Amino acid sequence: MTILNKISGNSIQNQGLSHSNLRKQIIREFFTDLRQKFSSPDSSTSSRRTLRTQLLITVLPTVIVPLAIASAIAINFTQRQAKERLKIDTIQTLRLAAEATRQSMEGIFGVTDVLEINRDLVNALKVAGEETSSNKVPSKHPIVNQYLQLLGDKKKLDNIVVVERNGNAIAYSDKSVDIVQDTLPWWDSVTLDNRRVIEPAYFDEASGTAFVTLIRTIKDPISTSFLGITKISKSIEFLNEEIFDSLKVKISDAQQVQVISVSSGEALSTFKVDEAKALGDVLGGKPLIEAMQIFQSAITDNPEEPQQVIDKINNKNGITNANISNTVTDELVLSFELQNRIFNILNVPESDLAVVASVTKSEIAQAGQELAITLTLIAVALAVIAIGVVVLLARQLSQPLTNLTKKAQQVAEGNLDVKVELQGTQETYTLGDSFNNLVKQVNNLIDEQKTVAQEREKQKEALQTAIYQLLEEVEGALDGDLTVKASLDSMEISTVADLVNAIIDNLREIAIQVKQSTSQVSTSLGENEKSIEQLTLQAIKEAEATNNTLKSVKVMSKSIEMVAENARQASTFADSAFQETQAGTQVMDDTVNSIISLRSTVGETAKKIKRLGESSQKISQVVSLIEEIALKTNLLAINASVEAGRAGEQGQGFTIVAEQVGALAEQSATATKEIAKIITSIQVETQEVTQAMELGTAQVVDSTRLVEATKKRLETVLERSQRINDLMRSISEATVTQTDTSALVTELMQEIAQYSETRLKSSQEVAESMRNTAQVAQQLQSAVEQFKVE
Amino acid sequence: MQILVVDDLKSELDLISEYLTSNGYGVIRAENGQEALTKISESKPDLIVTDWMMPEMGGLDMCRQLKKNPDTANIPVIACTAKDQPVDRLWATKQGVKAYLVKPCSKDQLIDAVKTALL
Repeated sequence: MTILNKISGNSIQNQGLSHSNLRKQIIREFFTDLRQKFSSPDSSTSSRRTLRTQLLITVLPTVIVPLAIASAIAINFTQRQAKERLKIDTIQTLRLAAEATRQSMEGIFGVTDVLEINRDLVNALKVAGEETSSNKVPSKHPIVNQYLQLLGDKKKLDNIVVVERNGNAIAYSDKSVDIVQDTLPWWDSVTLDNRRVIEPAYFDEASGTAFVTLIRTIKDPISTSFLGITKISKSIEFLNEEIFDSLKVKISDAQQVQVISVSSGEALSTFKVDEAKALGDVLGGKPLIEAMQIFQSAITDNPEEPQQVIDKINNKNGITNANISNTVTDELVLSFELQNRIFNILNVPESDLAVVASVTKSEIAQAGQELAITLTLIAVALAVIAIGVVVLLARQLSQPLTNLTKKAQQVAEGNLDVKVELQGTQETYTLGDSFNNLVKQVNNLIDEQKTVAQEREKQKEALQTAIYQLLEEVEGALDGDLTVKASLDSMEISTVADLVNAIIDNLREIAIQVKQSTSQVSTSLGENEKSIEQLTLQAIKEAEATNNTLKSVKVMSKSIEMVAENARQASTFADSAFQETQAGTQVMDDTVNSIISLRSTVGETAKKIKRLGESSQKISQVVSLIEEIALKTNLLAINASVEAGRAGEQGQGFTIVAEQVGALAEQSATATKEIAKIITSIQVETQEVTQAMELGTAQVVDSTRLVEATKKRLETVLERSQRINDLMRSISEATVTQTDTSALVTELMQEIAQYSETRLKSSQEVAESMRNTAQVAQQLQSAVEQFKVE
Repeated sequence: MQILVVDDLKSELDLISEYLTSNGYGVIRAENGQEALTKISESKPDLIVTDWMMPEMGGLDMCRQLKKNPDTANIPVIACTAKDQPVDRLWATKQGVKAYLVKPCSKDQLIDAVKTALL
């Protein structure tokens, strides 16, 4: 659905293109869409493999890998098999060589058995033994010599020497050899231990031949007593021929076999694949010989555990990987690596010979190499064939699909006239057929889509026209013309037109309402402005008046407070006046009492003063007496002095006393006159006092009267003062109440003042906002002006 | 029962009127919304069947005007129009249309709608 939509949409966009171009464009986009839908976002065409490559990548490994693995396994197996085979072959060769050697030796030693049953020889030995024991020269036995010669020729022996028990040769086939017992180390072991001995080989330069000599005892066949020994020499070449006859079928290129005398460390024979050589160097040299000696002594003389033997041999003199194994016939084989060769050693039973078969390591490594190369070549050839077959198969399988893909690409590029040739397998055949059908259907679909697209284009144009018309019709609304109306002609957008009409209608109604409202607001604001200003002014005045009142109230309040204070003071004063008056009355009472007592005291005093006058008179009488006495004393004194004068010098002292007494008398007279004067004045004054007393008493009486009258007056004053006091107190109380009230009034007035101030502010604010409203109303009015509604 | 039929096409007007009169309804005719409003103010009909797309004033515009006036707000209106998109029906319903008929409508459809609207 979306794809089709897109196609139609795009076809409209590309209406300017030619028909075939448009068609191609559509198809391209269709397939691009498909690709986007069905491919993962990161895959691109170039990074994707072709079917052929995919087939090759998938199938080739499944062919090549198993082939390679099988080949590798086969080669490996073959090589291992070959190596194993080589080892087994070596052991077999070894055994064969050992057996052949043993048989050859046995053949030589067997000659002695034949000799033991030769009566002539046995007798000859017995005789020779007795002869030599009695220090006689043993007699020769030409018949025996002849016999030995025949036997030696027949048995291909070079020399057979028979030696009697004391070491003298009594018969021989070729030449005589005497034995010097003491110088031969083996004599005892042969004669006493009955051992078989193989002498070291010797090379006869004259004949150019190497020989091996075997020594064995001869015993009496009946008594088995020791008769002597035989010493049989044989050409090693002959020996080799015998051994090689049986060995050459087995020995291989890689192998070398040597027969070695262990005790002497000498190689008797050396066998290779194509030659048998007498004597020669021991391959492996001294280390090999030592190892052989250890091995042999371990087996024959003092049997040891194989591991001990290995430990003795291994890692010495360059020997490594030493091992002892059993053959199928339970013979022990020592094997080790030395000088890059692998040696296998097997002792020849009942001799001190050992057979050594050796192979170089590289030969072992090379074993099976040829076979491996052959196998590899076969594997490579198989792989090449397999690849060829797979490539061919892949091509055959992918060819129809590749063709189909190419065609599909052409289609994707817009060529819808393409037709796929039907070929290949059932599946590709069906696929091709389906592809052709698909292309046909896409063609049909695109035709349909084109028709639909054209219809839509027409519809769109109609819609565009209708929209243009609608825009033109209602364009005026942008400039405020709300009388415009969209026509409902177009089927497509008449709903929208209706909606626009509804909106414009609503707008028009709103505009009308706004216009009306704003003009109403303006008018009423104009009317209200003055009254609001008045209101404000009034509020200001009211606030001022309130403030003034508040001030007056405050002043009044203060006055009241002062009055209260004064009243309080007055009350205090009245109080103290009252108390003072009370105290005055008290004093007045006291005064009256004092005056009364004064009256009696004055009376008493007057009496006493009268008596004082009388006493003064008596005093003046006494004074006159004293005056007389003084005169007479003075006269006496004058007489005394005269008398004293007469008495001369003795009376001089007395004269002085008389003079002093006269002076005293004179002073007394003077004093008495003074006293008389004082008394006179006292009398005068007493008379005056008495008179004054009498006057005073009269005045005291008057005073008493006056004081009592005053007391009565004071009581009246006290009463009035009491009343004044009461009045003052009530005034004071009244003023306190008044002060409280006045404080309350002040508070109230303050509140009123605050209210009135708030009201003033409010009314100012109201006035301000009224002004703002008026402005807004004016702006609104001018804004609404632009709408045309009628 | 007085039914006001409004349509700018005379043939349609005739057809619908015929359908209604044959069913015993009285018919008043108007050719656009403006005329219809005048007719309604003269004699208040019981139901209005109106076309949508008309010159001067369309059917839905008229319907809105009716809804603004309390006297006429309760007169049921049936729209009978060629417009048949879902959005048209939705808009018409929002404008207070009680039933929506798509032209050409059959007699039965019209009568059914009228009866339902008058219930």
